[in-house]
Formats: sequence, structure tokens, C-alpha cells
Amino acid sequence: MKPEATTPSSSGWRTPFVVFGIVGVVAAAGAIWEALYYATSPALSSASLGTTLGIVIAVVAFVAVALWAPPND
Amino acid sequence: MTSTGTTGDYPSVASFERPPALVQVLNDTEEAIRARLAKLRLFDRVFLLHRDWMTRITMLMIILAIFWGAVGGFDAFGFQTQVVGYATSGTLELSNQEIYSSVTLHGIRMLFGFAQQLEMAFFGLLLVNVLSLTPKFKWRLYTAVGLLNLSIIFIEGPIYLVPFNDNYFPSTGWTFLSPLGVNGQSLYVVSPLFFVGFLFLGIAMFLWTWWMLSHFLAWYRTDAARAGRLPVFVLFLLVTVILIPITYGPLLVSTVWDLGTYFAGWPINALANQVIFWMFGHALVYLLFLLPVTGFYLLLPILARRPPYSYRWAFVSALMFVLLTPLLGIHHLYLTPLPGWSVWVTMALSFAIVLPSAITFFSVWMTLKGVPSSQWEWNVVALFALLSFGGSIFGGLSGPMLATVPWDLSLHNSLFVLSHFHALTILSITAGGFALAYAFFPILTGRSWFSGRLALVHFVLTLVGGLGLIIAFDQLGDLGVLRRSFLLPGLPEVTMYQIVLFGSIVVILVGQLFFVLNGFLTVFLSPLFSAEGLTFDEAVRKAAQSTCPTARRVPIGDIPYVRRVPRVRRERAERVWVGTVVVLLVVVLVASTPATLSTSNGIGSPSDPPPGTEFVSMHAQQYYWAVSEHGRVNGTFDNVIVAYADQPVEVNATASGATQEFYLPLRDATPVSFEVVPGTPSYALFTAPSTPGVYAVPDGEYDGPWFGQDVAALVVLPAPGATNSLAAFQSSSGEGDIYNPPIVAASSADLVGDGAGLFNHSVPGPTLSAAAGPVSFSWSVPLSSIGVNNYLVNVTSNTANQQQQYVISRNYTLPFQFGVWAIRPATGLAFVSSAPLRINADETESANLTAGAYLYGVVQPIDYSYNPAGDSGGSTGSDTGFVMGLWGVLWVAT
Repeated sequence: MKPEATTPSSSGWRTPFVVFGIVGVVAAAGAIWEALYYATSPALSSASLGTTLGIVIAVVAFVAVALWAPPND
Repeated sequence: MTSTGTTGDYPSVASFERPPALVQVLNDTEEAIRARLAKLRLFDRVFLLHRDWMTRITMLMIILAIFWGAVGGFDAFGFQTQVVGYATSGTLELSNQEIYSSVTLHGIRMLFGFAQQLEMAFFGLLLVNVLSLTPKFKWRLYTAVGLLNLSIIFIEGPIYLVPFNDNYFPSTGWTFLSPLGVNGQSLYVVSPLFFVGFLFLGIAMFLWTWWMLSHFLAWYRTDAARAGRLPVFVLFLLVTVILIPITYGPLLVSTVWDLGTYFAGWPINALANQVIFWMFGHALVYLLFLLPVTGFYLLLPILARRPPYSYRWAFVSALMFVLLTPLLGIHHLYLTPLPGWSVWVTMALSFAIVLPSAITFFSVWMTLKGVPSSQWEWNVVALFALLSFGGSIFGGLSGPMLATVPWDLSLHNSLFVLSHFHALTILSITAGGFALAYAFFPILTGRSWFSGRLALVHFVLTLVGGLGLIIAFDQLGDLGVLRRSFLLPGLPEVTMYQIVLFGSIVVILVGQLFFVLNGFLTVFLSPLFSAEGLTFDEAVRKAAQSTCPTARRVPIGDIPYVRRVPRVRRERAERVWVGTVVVLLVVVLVASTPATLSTSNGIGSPSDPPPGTEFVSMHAQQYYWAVSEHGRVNGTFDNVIVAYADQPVEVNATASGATQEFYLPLRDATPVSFEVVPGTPSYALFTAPSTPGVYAVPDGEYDGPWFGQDVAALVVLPAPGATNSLAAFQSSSGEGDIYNPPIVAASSADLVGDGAGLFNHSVPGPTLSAAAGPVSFSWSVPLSSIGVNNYLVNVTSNTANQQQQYVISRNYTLPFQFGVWAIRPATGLAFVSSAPLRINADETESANLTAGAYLYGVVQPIDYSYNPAGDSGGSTGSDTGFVMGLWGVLWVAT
């Protein structure tokens, strides 16, 4: 997929899109951190690893699709 | 802008449309009261008594929501003071009934009095304003609000003023898992007012729904054709209105069933009742979650000055919330003996409901893409919306963890559940509610916010306290700590995180004081807020701007907006995102299916036992397990299961009085966890740990005010002829079960009874180790430990020191045998020595013992009945049960 060009109006790290994105990623990282206790435990990982990986891939996809998607212009 | 209805907007009633006589009487009465109270400036300003009825009732609902939120916050504070007090100094100031009822009422007040009421207030206000309706059916709304608040008072149950006794609050848990609390079914019987309160609550919500639908239908008949499509956030208002009867209907069914059993002895099926209840219990959380979702779709487009990213996908999201929300209740009952297929289907549906949330958060975020920073103002409305956005993602992503059945074995009923739940309720729902409150309070009161800085402090403290609380819950959950119990393992990390939790609660509560202070200062000191000549969006931006803590301001005016990116391109991005999520959900579902079916089928029906299996029949009483075994170990025990290392154990469990959970939290091995619901047997086949030792098996499901003492022990014996040292058990930390009692040498043991009737704050008491031959250990139960929370003395007077006087009057001797019994694998318990329990004396227990496992202490449950001044009864409730806490295992090595 070819990345969409961003408009000049959406550039800059202080735009609400960027700030909400950073907070969303930090929040998702927090949830993944919670999951890692179980995913990295030798005794508990088999029950939790599949869902943990699913969450990690979903978060990556969330950001990737959002960056690729056209702006709300 | 459409007004919320100032006095001039008061709906006129034509002379030929006189209201019914009753309504007229009510109107006249209300007006008389309003006119008198309005003369008092305090009441007039705070309750907006000079305004129209719709504004007044909305303001009243907001104030009542804050009131219940404050009381509910102090409930949590009160509970946590006892947890920390017991963990750090071993003291308790409140009775068991008060402590556990504070948790119940915390949930009730926060969920219904605060969050549900706040949602009703904002949604009613928004519907009337956005659709430009004249509010009608005043007394229908008044009745709904009155019943809602009355319901919370009823749920509290009675308080005796003379002699004072507030111990009949409900110690049930807000979930009131049937049959706990039901007369004739459970040893803990709650006041029937509790159930009547829930009836009122359900009726209140139906009335409010009727009120909302009446207005929406009135708009639909007259204005819908020319109004075009509904704004996205109104779609979510409608979702809420549709879901409420679907949600509260099951509550009414469950409650009426419990009441019928309570008073008329109707037969009860506890498992079926719980399934019905959770159709309400789960959907309720989604109902409240629609508050921030609606807030996002309302506020962010206004603040960004552009429409939502995709109307169609928002519509799909709304539709999916309606279809899926009522179907997820069983995921609170994963570990009960329900059919495996129903558990699997619920897990699949629980994964599916990730989709509408995924659509929502993608759409909301993408709505902001392209908004320049020069057009965006970081006021407190935007900050709370940001917090709610992050909190929803943080809390939402832990939902699939709990929804994965094999993972839930480790998470169920642990404090991890509360980490997930509070991430949603505090950082998502409450933060979203505050975003709406900051945006609409000036519009409602007609005054701009007094201080943006106070609002900022409120935001920061809510953020800091909320994060601290969630992280503390998460860490405690990782350790395997159960929710609700105030008697916790005395490990340093457990105590530390409990202190962090307590501190976080304090920070949150202090933060809310700034909100209340700002509100008061606003209604008394702030300049008037005028929306004259402004559009709805401009008015909201103006209100939000009054919360801006910095000097930087962005003009509030609307900006002409022309779509440049075609819909098809935006929707293509949405499709890619949704498609990715669907694929991931399917893959995770398929991967989790074998373990899910294995888990569920293993609980609902017995598995084929391999040769050498130990067969254990367990009957869960309030508050102990009655155990009967045959196989390599034979005998009957109270609260003790005996097996050999690596031996397969097949459990056939039943329960009476309350649902209970067999919870063996082996964090370093395989946890064993299943629920036992009265009336339906549960099964488990597991392998005993390979390391001999004493493993704690707490009851994981709250079953009444003596829940904390309800802990059994799995005594794992070494293979015949093998060494029975506890060294391996100690070096492996008992397979990571933090509830395992500490191990101390019998010769140096200093066992001291505490106020909860436990030795050294541990249940079972410390495991005493000794070598074969002459064995002795010292113990004492101080007179000072005897009080209302000590089940050893069945005197529940409120008069000070009555329990101790009882002991003194009986020459410091209680009628329970304290001693040592041997665990004989062939025959069960064998008497070694015993004598009546002595209080306030330093005792030494001595015997000549061979190698093996022994029980010490009072090894039979003690019959307890709470009945101060004869108050227990049909209208107040009662609390009886069989409690066993002053015991432990004596491990004698070769």
C-alpha cells in the first residue's frame, strides 16, 4: 500500500492527531506490559501467548493503518 | 443556540390542556417548595432554582451523582484503611460486616448513583437540546430520578440508631451472586430491602427509558424527515436507550426470583439465576462505557471543527454494540459448570465486541487527522477526552486477556480483574464524564468555569491517582491476590502495593475536591456565560475555553468546512483496519479453542481418571470445605485435602449457601481454579505438585463476611520412603502460591492469635517444621485479640468488651479442643493430644511424634452467629456460619 500524502495542516508533533496517537500507543504499551507478566512466565505463557501476540499485532496495525489513511479533510 | 430551557422556554400549557389533578397537585407542591428554597441564595445558586424544570432536574442529578461518587469513594477509602491497618499492624477498627459492606456499597454507589445517574443527566440534556425539543413528562422523569436514588438507600439496608448498629449493610457484593444473601438458602442473609432496592432501580431505568423514547418519538414524528441523518453521538444515545431495557430486564427477573425464594420459598437454580444476573451485570458496564463513547463522538468533532471520520462505520459500531452487549454475561461465569459450547460461544462473542470498540477508537482518532495545532485548544475538556481515549485503550485491551478462557484461570477473581475494571471506570468512563461535565456545566448553569487551573489540578490528580490505583491492582493481581478479601498474605510486596493502592485512592479523592470547589466557586463567583448568537458547537467551545489553564486561546467560531478527501478513501482505511482486527480475532479464537473446551468440559463433567488417582469429594460450606477422600489417602477432613506428590487428583465438588471457588494459585506451575455453584456439581482433574509441602487453597469467590478465613490447605505428602523435608518446597517458594503459610521451626515458633482469629495473621497458620521425636511449640491467644471480629467468641453485642467479659466469666477457657492430630493416609485424622482452648495464657504443646504431617490448633469449624441485641431477623438480615482459622500444619521430618 502506498502511503498517503499528509496535508501541511496535519504536520507537527503538537497536533491533536499526534498527541492522541502517542497517548493511545502509550496506553496500549501499558496493557501489553500487563500481559507480558503472563506471556513470559514459563508456567502461564501457553494460555496467554496467543492473545498477547494478537494484541501486539493489533496495536502495530492500528498505528500503521492510521498513518497510511487519508486525513479527515 | 438551542437553550437548555431558561424560564422563558418553560413549556406553556394551553388553558384547555389542563394537566390531570394529581399532576397539578404535584406541580403546585413543587412550586411552593421551589419558591421557598429559591429565597436562600445557596440553594438557588447550587440547584438553579430560578431555572426551568429540565435544567433543575439535570442539575439535581449531577449533584446527586457527585454526592454518591463522594460517598462511594469514601467506601473504598474505608475498606482500604482496614486492609492496610491489618497488614501493617494487625488491627481492625470496623466489623467484618462493615468492611465487606463498604465494598458492596462502593460498587453500588459508584455504578448506579454516580456513573449511571451522570449518564442519564447528560444524555437527557443532550437529547432535548440537540433535537430542539420541548421537555415534557416532567413527573415521569422526576419519578425515575427519585426511584433511582431511593433504590441506593434501600440497597444499603437498615441502620439501627438505638442501640446504634450499622452492621446490617449488605455484605453481599454488588453482584449478589444467588443464593448468597437469600433467606433459606444462605447462612448470610441480607435485608430484603436490598432486593427491593434493586427492583426500584430497574423500574427507575425503565421509566427513564420511556421518558427518553417519548421525546425521541415525538421528534421522529414531526422533524425527522427534514432533519436528515442523526448526528453520530445521537446514535449512541439511542443505543443506550435501546440497551437499558435489555440490560435491566434480566436484573428484574433475577431479583424477583431471589425475592420469591426469600419470602415464598420458590425453588432456585443458582446457576440459572447467575446467568440471568450477568446478562445485566456485564451489559451495565457497556451501558456506562457508552458515556465516553458518546462524549468522543460529540466533543472531538466540535473541538476539531470537522465531522467524524466515517459516519457509516460509526453506525456499524453502534449497531454492533446493540447486538453484542446483551450476549456476553457468561464470560463472568467461565469457570462454572456451564456447557463447554456456551463458554466457547461467549468467548467468541467477547472477542467480537472488540470490533465496535476498534472501529470507535480508530474513527475517533482519525477524526483528528489533519487538524492543525493552531485550531486546537488544550483545555481541560480536551485533556479529559484525551485521558478517556487512552484509558479506554488501556482498559479495553485487558478485556481480551480476561476473555481468553485458559488465561482466565490465572486472572479470575484476582485483583487483575479490578485493574481492568478500574482502568475502564476511572480512566475511561469517569474521565469521559468529566469531559462532558466541563463542557456542559457552563451551558447548564449559565456561568463560565471559575478556574482553569483548579480544573487542571483536578485532571492531574485524577490521572495520577487513577494510574497508581490501576498499576497497584495489576501488580497484586499478577501475584495472585484475590479481590475483596481484607485478610491478605503478609508478604512485603503485597503490603507495599496495598499501600500504593491506598495512597492512590487518597490522591483521587483529593483531586475530586478541586472539582467540587471549582463548581461551587463557579456558581457563586464566576461571570455569566452567554450563548447568545452562538451555534451549539461554538457554545460548547466557549464553555470548554473557560477551562483552559494557559493563556493560549483559539477562537471559538465555526470554520467553513469542505470535504476534500472522498468518503470512499476514508472508508477504505476503515475497512483495512476492521479487516485486520477480524483476522486477528479469528486466529486468536482458533488458537484458544482447544484449551477453552478442555477447561470448560473438565469443570462440567468428570474426566477419565488415570490409575492411582486420588478421589476427593468436597462440599463447600460457609465458610469451609468438608472433604472426604478415597484412594491412596482415605479419610474425612475439614479444610484439608491430602495427596501424594505428582498424584492425579480428581475432585467432585458441591456447595451450599454460596458460590465458592477452588483456587490453587500456583504461579510457577499450573493454576487450578473452578467455581462451585450450589445445586450443580463441579469437577476437576489435576496433578498434585511434585514438591511435598503445604499449599494454600483459598476460596476465590466471596461468600460472606467470613470470606477471609475461608482458606483450605492441600497437604502434599512425599512418596513412601522418600525424604519429607520441606527444603525443596521452601526453595521453590511453594510453586508461587503466595497464600502458602510461612514455614517456621516448631521449637522457635511464637504463635499468637489475632483479632481475626488467626495465628500470626495467616490462614492456615504458619506451617511448623520439626524432626521426628519430642516436638513442642508455643502458642497463645491474648485476651486483647477477642472482639467482635473474632469468631472464637460467639457474643456479638455492641457493648464494649462484652466478648472479653464472656471469656473472663468462663475462666479464660473456651469449649473448643486445641491440640494435635496426625494425618494417617490409611484412615484419616488420628488424635494425638488436645485440651480446651485457653485464652490469655502462654501454652506449650508437646508430643513425641513420628515423621509425617499433622494438624495443630482448632481443626474443626466453629459455629458462629451474629445477633447483637437480638436484631438479626426477617427485616434486617442475619449472619451465621462455620469458621475455621486457628489452625495449621505441623510437618515432622525424618
